[in-house]
Amino acid sequence: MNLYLFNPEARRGRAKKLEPKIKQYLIDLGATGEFINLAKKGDAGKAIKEAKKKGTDTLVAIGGDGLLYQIIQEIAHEKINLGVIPIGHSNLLAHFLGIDSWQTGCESLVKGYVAKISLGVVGGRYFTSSVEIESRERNKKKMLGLIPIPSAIQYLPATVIINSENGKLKLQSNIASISVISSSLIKKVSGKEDDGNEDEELSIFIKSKPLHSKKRAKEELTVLRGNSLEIKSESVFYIKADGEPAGKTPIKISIDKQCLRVIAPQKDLDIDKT
Amino acid sequence: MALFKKRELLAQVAHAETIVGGGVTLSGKIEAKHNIQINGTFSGEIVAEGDVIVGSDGEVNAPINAKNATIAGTVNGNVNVVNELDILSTGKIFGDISAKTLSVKSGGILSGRSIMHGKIEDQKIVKPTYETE
Repeated sequence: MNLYLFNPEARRGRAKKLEPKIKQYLIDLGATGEFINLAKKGDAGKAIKEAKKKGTDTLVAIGGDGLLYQIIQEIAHEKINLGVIPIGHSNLLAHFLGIDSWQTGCESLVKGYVAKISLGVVGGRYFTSSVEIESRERNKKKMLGLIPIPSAIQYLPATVIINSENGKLKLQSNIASISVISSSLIKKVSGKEDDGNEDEELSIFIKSKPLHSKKRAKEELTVLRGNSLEIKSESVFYIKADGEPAGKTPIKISIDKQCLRVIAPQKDLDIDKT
Repeated sequence: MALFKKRELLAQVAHAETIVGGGVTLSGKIEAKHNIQINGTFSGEIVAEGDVIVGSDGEVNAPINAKNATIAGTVNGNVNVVNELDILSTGKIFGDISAKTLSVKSGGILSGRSIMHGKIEDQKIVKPTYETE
């Protein structure tokens, strides 16, 4: 039986209006199950633990990437299938799976198939799409309680070690930010044709300025690929995985291959079918 | 996302190759199926199935093996390309090179041996015209 986890706060609360429509559509498709409305952010974890005890075999996330981030922490490497009905802002994982609307997400529960995908791992947490590492902590204070106060970008000296099949690459520079994205996700979302490279890699984007440079020096972009990376720095860098806080440096980021079972709608996806 | 918007970055990097930004110091082995661009300092080894470009501020202390190469910076090492090697006016290679075609712009420096491995057609063997005893 399916367990549906609905996040009413998706799209800043505007997703609430979709709840009755989604429920009716699922009934019309014959995709029945238990519906849980998540009132608070931590409710997803509790609901999933209960579902595991009951022996639920399919969890359906009705929300955005934030909800998916919570769910994958609990069901990676488990024999639980993840369905996705996207109603959030970014919905990157849904896009990767070929689910471009909540209707397609509902239909895939009936007509789709189960596939295994890989997840990234950072600081013991899984992520589906990306990790952002910044030298500044986002200021939570707001001017007059409304306007976020931006904090200045800092370029801090750091060492990044990237591991790949060819060995280690060691990079040193004054770094402002690092973004790490799954290469297979890039190909799917950008519509790039599969070049036959079946290796799952991380694409790493580093914004930096030269060491010992003047303030007005131009910012540079470095693009590298690898299976894992470590970031070391005397200064602290703040990490977000799929938009959620995930700790500080030093940190290691890697790939956990084919550890999540997902329900995909299309059979021409370049992912392993179980 | 903090400094990047997710979809913008994904669009930007859809065609991303390997790029070493200016001012970055990188060491190790880069082996890539696509193009490689070096604008910083690299030590180690470069093997590319695509093209290698060394920018004017780039410094490579490594052998380079690629399909084509364009050098506007400094290379301390041998450069072996399948097709075309271009040394631009600010480019310097201190090492041996091999290529099918080579072009060196005015100001460019090549200090080393060169082997041109293109097809040799109409090869003429010139016999001496004097008689030997």
